[in-house]
Amino acid sequence: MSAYLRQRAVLFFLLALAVIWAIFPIAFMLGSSFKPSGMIWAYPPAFVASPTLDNYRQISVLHPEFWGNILNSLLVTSVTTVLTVAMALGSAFVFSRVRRRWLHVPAFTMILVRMFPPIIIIIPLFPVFNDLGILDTPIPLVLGGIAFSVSAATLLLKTFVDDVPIALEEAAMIDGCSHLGAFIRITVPVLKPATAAIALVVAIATWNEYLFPLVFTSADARTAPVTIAIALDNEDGVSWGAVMAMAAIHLLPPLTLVALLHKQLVNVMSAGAVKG
Amino acid sequence: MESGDLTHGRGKLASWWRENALAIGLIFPAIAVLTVIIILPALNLFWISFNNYSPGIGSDFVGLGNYTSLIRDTGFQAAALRNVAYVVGVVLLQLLTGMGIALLLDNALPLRTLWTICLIAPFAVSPIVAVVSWKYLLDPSFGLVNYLITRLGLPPVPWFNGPATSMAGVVIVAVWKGFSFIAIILFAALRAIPSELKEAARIDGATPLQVFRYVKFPLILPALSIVALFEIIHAVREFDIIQTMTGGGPGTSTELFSNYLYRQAFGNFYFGLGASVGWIMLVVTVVLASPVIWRTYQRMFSLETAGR
Repeated sequence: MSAYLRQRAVLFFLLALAVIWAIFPIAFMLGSSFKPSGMIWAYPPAFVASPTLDNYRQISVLHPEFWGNILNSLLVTSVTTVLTVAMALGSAFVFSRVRRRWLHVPAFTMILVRMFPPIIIIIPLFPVFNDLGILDTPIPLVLGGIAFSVSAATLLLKTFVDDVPIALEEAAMIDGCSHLGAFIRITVPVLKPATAAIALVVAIATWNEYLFPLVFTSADARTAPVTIAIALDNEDGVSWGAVMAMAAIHLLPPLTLVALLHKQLVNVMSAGAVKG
Repeated sequence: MESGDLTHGRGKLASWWRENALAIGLIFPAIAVLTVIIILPALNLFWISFNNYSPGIGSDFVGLGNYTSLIRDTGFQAAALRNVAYVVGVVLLQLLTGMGIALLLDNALPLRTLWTICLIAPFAVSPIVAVVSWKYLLDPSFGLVNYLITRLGLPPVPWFNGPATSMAGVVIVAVWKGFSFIAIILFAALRAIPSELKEAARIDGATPLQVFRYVKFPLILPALSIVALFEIIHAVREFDIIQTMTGGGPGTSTELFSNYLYRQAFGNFYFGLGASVGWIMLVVTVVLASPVIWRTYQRMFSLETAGR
């Protein structure tokens, strides 16, 4: 029995280490964002004693553009996510339910293009977006976001559509639905958990995107990650309080959603690796 | 050709269109975005890479000129070698931590859901927020990490002072951000193993290590190779962490392919040179990913009975 206990003790020790490794960096950052300014540079490092919102107020003083950047992030993320999921549902329906030889071409295109590094498009598209006058608007961010999410979202959703018996749709078609109507009314509701998790993955990728806003925006359409990066790169010394407050605000939405949807997320991500 | 044939042909086309209009209409938006945003720009990138091109200034055809100057540029050679080392080092560390944590979670644990959520958390964190968190911890003058190191009686580490400590900081963040994905997928793969298999091995007197070596490992190997491949591809294109943590510095000593591309294209406005780096990255990625590309393509249409 003592061997068993020793084994459990080692297990819990390692688990504690793993959990600390995973969440301590963000927990410490979140906690430090409430430190009064004197404590931020304290050595030995201090943990929050008297929490204050000073750092959050400092954002409006040092980086007043940040609140607009967060709104831009929200706008780009929601539009990109909705459009990507809608396109992916339509394409997944086709790839799962329609059998036509020519569909191999768009399917292979998606499988191939999913692997392309996003950085390759900034050189050819920068002059094009400039000529079109859409630099520093949300349009390049939304288009780039969709382009680099829709293939993976489609391929992933298709594996979930495949698992839904087509007989359910056929029953609805006998009652007079078109095939697409039957898909929307019968299959899409069944796919809700998988769709929500895939939407979350797309939303996180877009919300966290740094490269496209760095290249394609300069002020009005800038999103939060670029502003935080600029604040962190201040050569006259980093205003850690404001930087951590901005980082905390940027972190909270995806962290909350991942905690809420963790089950579906694990399910969808492992489906991607095992079935995709 | 008789006019009857023509109308017949048109009728065929019309009926083909009727049969396929729905499918075409549903995949058109996605394919249109992919074409306009990725495929045509990728082809254009190939063309740009044969030119000395700076937007607004002009463009000269130089043949393979950009590629030969790349090969001769010591900065590019260093970035390429560094990127290879980065891929090997980061992916190995990610796989080790990810697999270790997946094996830990695959035990009977109280509050396992809570631990799972904690271990998924880094997946939600943006690269820039990860860099903020870790740069605060690693700060050479007031950071908690150096405080703990000196408390252990070791000399403080001059983080971000030189190439080695800067790269170490980048690797820590990259491993921290990437291990979650691996842990989640391998944990799911481990749970999919029928428990009778593990039980049977244990009853036959296998040690935990043997159960791992002969039962668990072979069964999670397919998932492991896929996540490894995804992490390799991701490490080839790494940009955000280095750009925001070290800016490629000190000097250019932590630049990888992407950071070199960005500096040449958007720092020096050598779009042609940047394009040749981009094209190299694209070819490397597609070659590395070709097993997964092929496997996914084959599986996609082999399931003729999907949903039936």
